[in-house]
Amino acid sequence: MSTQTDQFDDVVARLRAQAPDLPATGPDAAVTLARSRRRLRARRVRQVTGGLLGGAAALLVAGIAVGPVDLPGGGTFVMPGGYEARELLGEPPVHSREQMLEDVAALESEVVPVAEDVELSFYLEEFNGVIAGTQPCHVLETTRGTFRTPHDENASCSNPDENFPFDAVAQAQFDGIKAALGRTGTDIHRITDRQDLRGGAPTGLHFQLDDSSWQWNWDYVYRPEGLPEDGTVDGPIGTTTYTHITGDWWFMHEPDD
Amino acid sequence: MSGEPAGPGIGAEARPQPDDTARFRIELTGTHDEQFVSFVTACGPYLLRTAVLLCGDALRAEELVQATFERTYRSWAKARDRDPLAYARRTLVNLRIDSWRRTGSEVLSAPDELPVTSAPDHAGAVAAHNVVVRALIQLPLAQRRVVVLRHLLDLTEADTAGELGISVGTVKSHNARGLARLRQIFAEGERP
Repeated sequence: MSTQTDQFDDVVARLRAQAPDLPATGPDAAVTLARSRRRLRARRVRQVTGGLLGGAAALLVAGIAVGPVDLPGGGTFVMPGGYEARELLGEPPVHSREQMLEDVAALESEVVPVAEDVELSFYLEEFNGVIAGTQPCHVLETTRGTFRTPHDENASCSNPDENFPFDAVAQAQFDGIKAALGRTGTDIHRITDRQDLRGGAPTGLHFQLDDSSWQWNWDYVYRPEGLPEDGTVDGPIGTTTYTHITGDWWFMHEPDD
Repeated sequence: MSGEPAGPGIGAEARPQPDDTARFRIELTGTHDEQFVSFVTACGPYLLRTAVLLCGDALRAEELVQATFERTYRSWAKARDRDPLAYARRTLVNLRIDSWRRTGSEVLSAPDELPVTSAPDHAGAVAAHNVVVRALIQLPLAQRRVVVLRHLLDLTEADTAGELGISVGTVKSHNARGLARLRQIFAEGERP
């Protein structure tokens, strides 16, 4: 009886026959060790410094807190310092619970159907590093394939070797998602379907919130299949934490790799 | 989902594999750092090849391998006591593989932070121009990961599912779609 893969025996044979062999050498082990040790030290220093800064900031401005901030499922917290300071200290973009409910309702009605319709796995409109006069980096990945903005040395698309220009269908799909995001009024430019992409982490459609934290990523997550009971998952890059917002939606934070 | 992925490994009780990765099984002795150096020396080429197959870019592959080793070093005790190569490979395949997923600012690196280059004959660059690598890079990342793990690293469907944290059904689906797309890509490449 033939299996699903048997019909592709020729493709598999070609892959195995023509794939590159092992390189004769790998990275220099001594240099790799030195760099790994240095990175580990820097990470520890950063963790300690971050904790001290956070504590100091809290003490300094404890008496002049700017007011309560609602976090989903977590009651009301008083968050000292301004928005930028909070982000640099690793705090999430500040949204009230009402704002979050409004955001996810809009995402579910406007964007989720479009993403599911095109079988989206990755959408990106990247503005970081874009110089005036150059276009942002656009990426669309669906079951049809991968499409990217052609490489531009002055733009933020760092894909110097490969160009997979958008065809008409892909461009229409990208524009459809962008328009849908625009209708939500959210500041979201990156969508990832984690259904298949990450080991160790729950799956779902992730809408990454714009932030400047060097330590964390913050996403709205649409996950109809639910989550582990305790809301945390240990993955290869650390612990990912989920807080329920409403229905099939969670607010996630994870270490920024 | 399984805990630690099965697969070729070194050190503690790596189970037999159908491929030639037995060569990476070495005795880990000495201090923490000496063990790590032995591991990097033994497994660097395997991980570098895996990275090239996944990302199709020599420089990015070296960055990915460097990041993989840094994270493995960070958790060396845990990795060593289980299966360090499986731990490192799982870390590697779950990194942000495609360079365009980085922002422009992330591309900037201090000189001493540039990836450790491997072979002086630019083996990585040669591999990156390999016909299979060029075809793989045209697959969506999820399909590419499955095809590489299943057919070029010889993991079973169950092990591939465990490594990527997805179901066996999803592995089968991505595998079939990926191979169908590769057949199309190979055919297009042969047209005059």
